Amino acid sequence: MRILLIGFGNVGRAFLQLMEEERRGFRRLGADPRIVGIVDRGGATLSENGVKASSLLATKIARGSVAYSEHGGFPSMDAAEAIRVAQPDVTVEATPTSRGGSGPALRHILKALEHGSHVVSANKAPFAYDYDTVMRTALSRGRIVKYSATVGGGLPVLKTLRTLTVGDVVEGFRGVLNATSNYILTLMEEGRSYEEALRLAREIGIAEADPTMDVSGMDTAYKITIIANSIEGGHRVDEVELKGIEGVEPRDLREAALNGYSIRLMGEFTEEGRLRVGPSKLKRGSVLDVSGTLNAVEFRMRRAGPVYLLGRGAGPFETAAAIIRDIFEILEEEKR
Amino acid sequence: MIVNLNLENTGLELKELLEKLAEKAPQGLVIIVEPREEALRVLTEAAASRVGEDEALAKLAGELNSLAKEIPGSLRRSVEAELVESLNRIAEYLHAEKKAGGATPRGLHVMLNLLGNTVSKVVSSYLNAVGVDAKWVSAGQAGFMLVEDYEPPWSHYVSLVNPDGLKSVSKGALVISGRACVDHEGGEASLRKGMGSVVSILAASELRVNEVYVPKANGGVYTADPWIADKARVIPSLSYSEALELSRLGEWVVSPQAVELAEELGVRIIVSSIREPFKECTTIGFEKAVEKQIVKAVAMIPDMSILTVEGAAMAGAPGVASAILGEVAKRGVSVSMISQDASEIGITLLVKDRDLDMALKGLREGFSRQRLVKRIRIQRGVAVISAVGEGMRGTRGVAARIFSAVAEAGVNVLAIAQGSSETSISFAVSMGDAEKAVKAVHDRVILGF
Repeated sequence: MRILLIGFGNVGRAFLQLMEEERRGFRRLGADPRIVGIVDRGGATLSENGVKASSLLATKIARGSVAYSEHGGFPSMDAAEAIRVAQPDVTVEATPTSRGGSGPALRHILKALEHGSHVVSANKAPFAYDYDTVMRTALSRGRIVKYSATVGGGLPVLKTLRTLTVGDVVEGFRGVLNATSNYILTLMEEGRSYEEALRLAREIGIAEADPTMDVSGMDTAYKITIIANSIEGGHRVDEVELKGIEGVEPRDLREAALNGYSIRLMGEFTEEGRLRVGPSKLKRGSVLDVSGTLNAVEFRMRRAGPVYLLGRGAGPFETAAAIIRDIFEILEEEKR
Repeated sequence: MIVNLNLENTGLELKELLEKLAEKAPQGLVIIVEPREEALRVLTEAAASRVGEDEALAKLAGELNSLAKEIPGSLRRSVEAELVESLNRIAEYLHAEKKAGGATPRGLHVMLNLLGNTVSKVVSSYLNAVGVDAKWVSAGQAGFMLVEDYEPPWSHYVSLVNPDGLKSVSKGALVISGRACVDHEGGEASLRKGMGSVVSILAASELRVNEVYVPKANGGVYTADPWIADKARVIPSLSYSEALELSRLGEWVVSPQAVELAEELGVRIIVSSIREPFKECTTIGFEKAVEKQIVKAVAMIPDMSILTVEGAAMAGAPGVASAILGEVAKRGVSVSMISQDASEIGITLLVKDRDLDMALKGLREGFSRQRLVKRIRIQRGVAVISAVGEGMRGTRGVAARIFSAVAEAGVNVLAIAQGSSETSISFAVSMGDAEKAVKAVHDRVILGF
């Protein structure tokens, strides 16, 4: 199996590392995965026999791009060209999620499908802005597109959803889907200001240097749009009613606590089909009242009633593991 | 002048040592400081909630106060205030980690670096107290960067990427927090054990200094552990390959990576005493005064286990050893010694006692569906004894002398291995016989040669 990796940031590197460790699992399925190319902002590196991870990392650090690799480095090669030359069986899209539109990731995905490659994406944007385009193209090309890594990472939200929708109907869902904002609110419950909680979250590596996507609620908006699309398609992230946690004050949390409530950044898909994100009061001790970096989702099923999923949110390795699970699923689906 | 000040080697009483360093080299002194492993371990355990926050903070406070207790007068008060500030910040991080549901990788790095930096501040203050214009920086600020290896076994090492940080030291002293580094994105990254000595060698090479001094509480590298062999004495010189063997055996003065790098860059490592930090006790370098002393040292790795993998089908089957080691490696277990019969129907591995179950699990799972391996035998409570000396290479009868000595001491040898370099011979004995074996090799072979 020939894999092309587009994007060589934290997720891309974690993916490379986990692929080495999961080789045996793939062999059990009769597959011998080889990462035949990596594309980053500076260009691409391609190798028929599989790329050499350690030297690539050294090149990336020293010269800013894998394209300067002495073994098969192509500084001017973009993702489209790399897909054309490498002819991958699976293209892994791991570039950073863009704001305001699908960005280059959509082009990468469509190009990969056009060349007959299956796609696994960790990039949320194409599934939050152009879900229908991606899925229609995949269908017309007879290729598989997987995107479990875009929601929940280690928490199998989309896989669970697929299982639940066999013989039942999702009437709505809500959830705490952003670890960073949940962590900040948890610290603020102790009386810390928003700024102080954000500083600590940054220092211990929970918040990014630029946490805007998380605290503004945009990350949650992407995720609920993707879940809603997985249920019925036709949604775009711009339709989400959005409010972040920047305006939450410690006194709001104190007052809520006095009345037996917590405040959490909640993403919701209502029974009327509306998508909204914002700080919401939750009864203390209720299932969705999770603290720290935990995520929680409640699916409201027509027959089964509420179904909950709880677990740790995504980091680079959880996201990379979800990508690998998607590749496994593609292998299994291909066998059917 | 470059000094690798590892508190593991020196202990916590630094006043006299630092005064002597300041007296001898008041200018152009570079000290690379490494905290004690125990302090780092306590912090790591607390971050993982295996040790209570209060217990960990009390231990760290004890460690830092012991370290700073001899700083004189008014300077001490300001250092104590800084210690309190550091401990408060560590407490805040530990609390934040707990709220996150466990240690985050970055959070742990931040705390370990904070501890290392605090220790370096104390060292710097001792120098300031005797009038040296000393400043402290982290290894990251001095231009060092952690480089991760993204292929098995996922090691990491350190590289000097911006030498300007080091070159600022023209006057006074520069104290470098040797394990407090940064990653390629500029984020905090704490270097693992032994990397501080690598930083020292890289600094020496960059500053064109030929030696790195490593002060040690008992001064020098010994022919054997003096607690076991009472006649043990300091070895005046060791070749790089001898030092490498000894450092791998846990005779930790500097790390194996540092010895390897020192050889590559032509830097001598001078192990000295904390009482006389510039007097050479053991010099590690290219010198090959080995003819007289064939076996130079004997060392022991305690608490090991033997794993013997057997099966008639293994004979002549290519790749068996690799498959066995691969299964063990996948479980993150390091193999200290390997021995194989010429008949190829059995291979013996020595692993740490604590890793035995994991290795066993890996082997059982890895070979459960194959007929290659018939049985796996284990023996816990074993020690590996290694005799080291470059003079052994090509010298006849060394192995015979070693095993005669061991046999005369009434010790049964369980497994034997010799590296192709012939610089060492290793053998396994039961833990109960280990000290007897060390003493026998030391007294009858090293002193007897």
